[in-house]
Amino acid sequence: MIPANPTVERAPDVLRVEDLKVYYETSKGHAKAVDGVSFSLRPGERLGLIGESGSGKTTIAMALMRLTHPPGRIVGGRVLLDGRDLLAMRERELRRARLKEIALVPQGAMNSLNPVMRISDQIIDGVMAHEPDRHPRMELERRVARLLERVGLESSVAGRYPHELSGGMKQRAVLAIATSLDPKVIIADEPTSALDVVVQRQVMLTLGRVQEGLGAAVVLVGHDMGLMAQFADLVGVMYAGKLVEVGPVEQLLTEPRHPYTRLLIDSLPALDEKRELRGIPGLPPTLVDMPAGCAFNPRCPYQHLRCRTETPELWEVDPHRQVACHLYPEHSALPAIPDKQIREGAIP
Amino acid sequence: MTPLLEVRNVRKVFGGGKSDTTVALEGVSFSVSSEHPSITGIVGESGSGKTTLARLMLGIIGPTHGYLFHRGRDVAAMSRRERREFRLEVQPIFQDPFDVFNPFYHVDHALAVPIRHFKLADSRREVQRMVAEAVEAVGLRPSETLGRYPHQLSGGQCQRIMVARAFLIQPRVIVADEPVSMIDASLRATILGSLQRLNRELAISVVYITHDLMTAYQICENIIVFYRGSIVEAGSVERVIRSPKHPYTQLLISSTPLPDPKRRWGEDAIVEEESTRRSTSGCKFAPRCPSAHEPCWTTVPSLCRTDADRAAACFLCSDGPVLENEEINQVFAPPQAENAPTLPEAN
Repeated sequence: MIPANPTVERAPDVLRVEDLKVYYETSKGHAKAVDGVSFSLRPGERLGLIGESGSGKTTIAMALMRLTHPPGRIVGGRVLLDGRDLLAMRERELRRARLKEIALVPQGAMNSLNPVMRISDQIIDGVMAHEPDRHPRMELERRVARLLERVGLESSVAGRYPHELSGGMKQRAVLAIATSLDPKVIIADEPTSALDVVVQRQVMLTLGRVQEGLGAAVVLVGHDMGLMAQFADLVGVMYAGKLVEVGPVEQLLTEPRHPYTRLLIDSLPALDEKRELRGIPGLPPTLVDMPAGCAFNPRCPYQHLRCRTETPELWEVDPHRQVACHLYPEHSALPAIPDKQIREGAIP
Repeated sequence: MTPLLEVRNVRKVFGGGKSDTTVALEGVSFSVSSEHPSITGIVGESGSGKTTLARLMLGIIGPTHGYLFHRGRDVAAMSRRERREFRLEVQPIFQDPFDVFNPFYHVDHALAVPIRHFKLADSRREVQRMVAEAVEAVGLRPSETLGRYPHQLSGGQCQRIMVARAFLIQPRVIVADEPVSMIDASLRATILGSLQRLNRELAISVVYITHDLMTAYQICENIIVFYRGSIVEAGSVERVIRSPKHPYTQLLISSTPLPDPKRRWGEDAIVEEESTRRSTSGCKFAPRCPSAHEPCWTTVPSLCRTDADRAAACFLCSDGPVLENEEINQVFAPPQAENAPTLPEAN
């Protein structure tokens, strides 16, 4: 996750994203949905990408699989998978990499299953596409049973159709498909957004177990800070197409550096104390009409002149912590919000 | 004292015929007091019957058995005039903010229609003034929202306009069905905050229907937990959330993803729904319950009072006196208006 430091011994990155840019062509010009995002992941690491709707998080997930469709276009950057640039691969090479090396657990995964195919056939489909040589049926069936077992499903599920399964079971079936070829990187795009909390917990714990078993890296995309805290090791906070803060989940939650992260955390309800619910004043900018300077400046209680003219870069303020904010390096931590601002930011 | 709104012993069955029927609600009673403005949470997963209850309380659908009373009058047997009064006093906020607006009209339309319908203003100018005032009351700028179409606004803005609509009509009860589940975290607090303000400043009661225990805990005084159409636990929110008695409530709370990495989900055994196929004529939660024993499969546990301010329907805590359906409000904590924090004025 941390920019390479040649003096420190570290495992090679399995996924390295450099200056990724995805724009949407609109009648009003380019909408910079993802605008220069960089991060890297080592095997076994879990990165949570959190952001509100329109922050570009799902666009990143799609771009990492090179599944961006028009009007969206990947206009720049590199996605290095074990050192090979996914964005520069030929179509054939790309097809080989998908599922085998980098796999997607899509949003609303329950709707991504084919309703007229049995679960086993949908799992075999992917396997056969990558290993076209003849497999004895028995061997395939054993393999399907093993994959289902790994995600906590009975082998009898193999013969069933999606409509015969509950939401949680469908989600696990999708997980079985995504992990069928032991990928090195799993992209999970809001995998539990339509599920109840109890089922969500089961599915996320399953994803975690499978991922640990494989030693794969995970990028979990979502909007729920609670889910990130439960699952991720590192969290990247997205705002208006950019990463504004990256850090280990515990530090990020207890000691946020970016004003947006701080206000986002303050707006979360808790289960142990009743407190005044405080939203973030204002609205996120529309991507075709971005404010000059820092995109968060119109909503930021700390904003000063420089924020309105100069876009802050994401850089390392501490080992393992990256922030894109003009408050640093002058400050060593995020100063307290001026009292007046707290009041203005409170429930209108 | 006659309650403002009372659901009494309601059963709602969907589907006709002999076989394929779904019991969405079973033996549900509770009421909203006309004296103390309250915020009551109705919590449950999908399929728990919470939206059915919302629709029932709004008079959109009628119960199969049981009654909905508005100020002691049966809503099913109301005259036109009484029904109009009922609508004026009981107003909804729905889940999907885009779904409730007519896409062909400016959003102002949704605010102006009730003013005309309930004859709240005398002149066109007054309608405009009231609309602008209501929009400002929920923290939106009229210049940025009025005169626009719903698709030009964000979900959070649309939902706040629905709150503004409630503010405009000033009902006695708002039935809010998942009002923030489609709203981003940073705006969620703002919308819930405006509901709280309606409650405190205009003495409007709120029935807050949600699957999210955390927001319910933050804004409610009392909550009712539903499982598959039945009440499993009810009482003051502090009691129910801090020391849940029913195994289902316990499961819900332990599964809530807290934004605190130090308190991650335990790997404690969860009985999975799909793993047991044993059908039950007793407690509906028995197939998933880690502490299910023989009586659970055959007898439906009644709601028993476990504390002064809580009741639960479980054999594990059935020592207390049985609470008749209609008595459920007895376990609700009275509103604590005097020590509620004061909110800053709208900007």
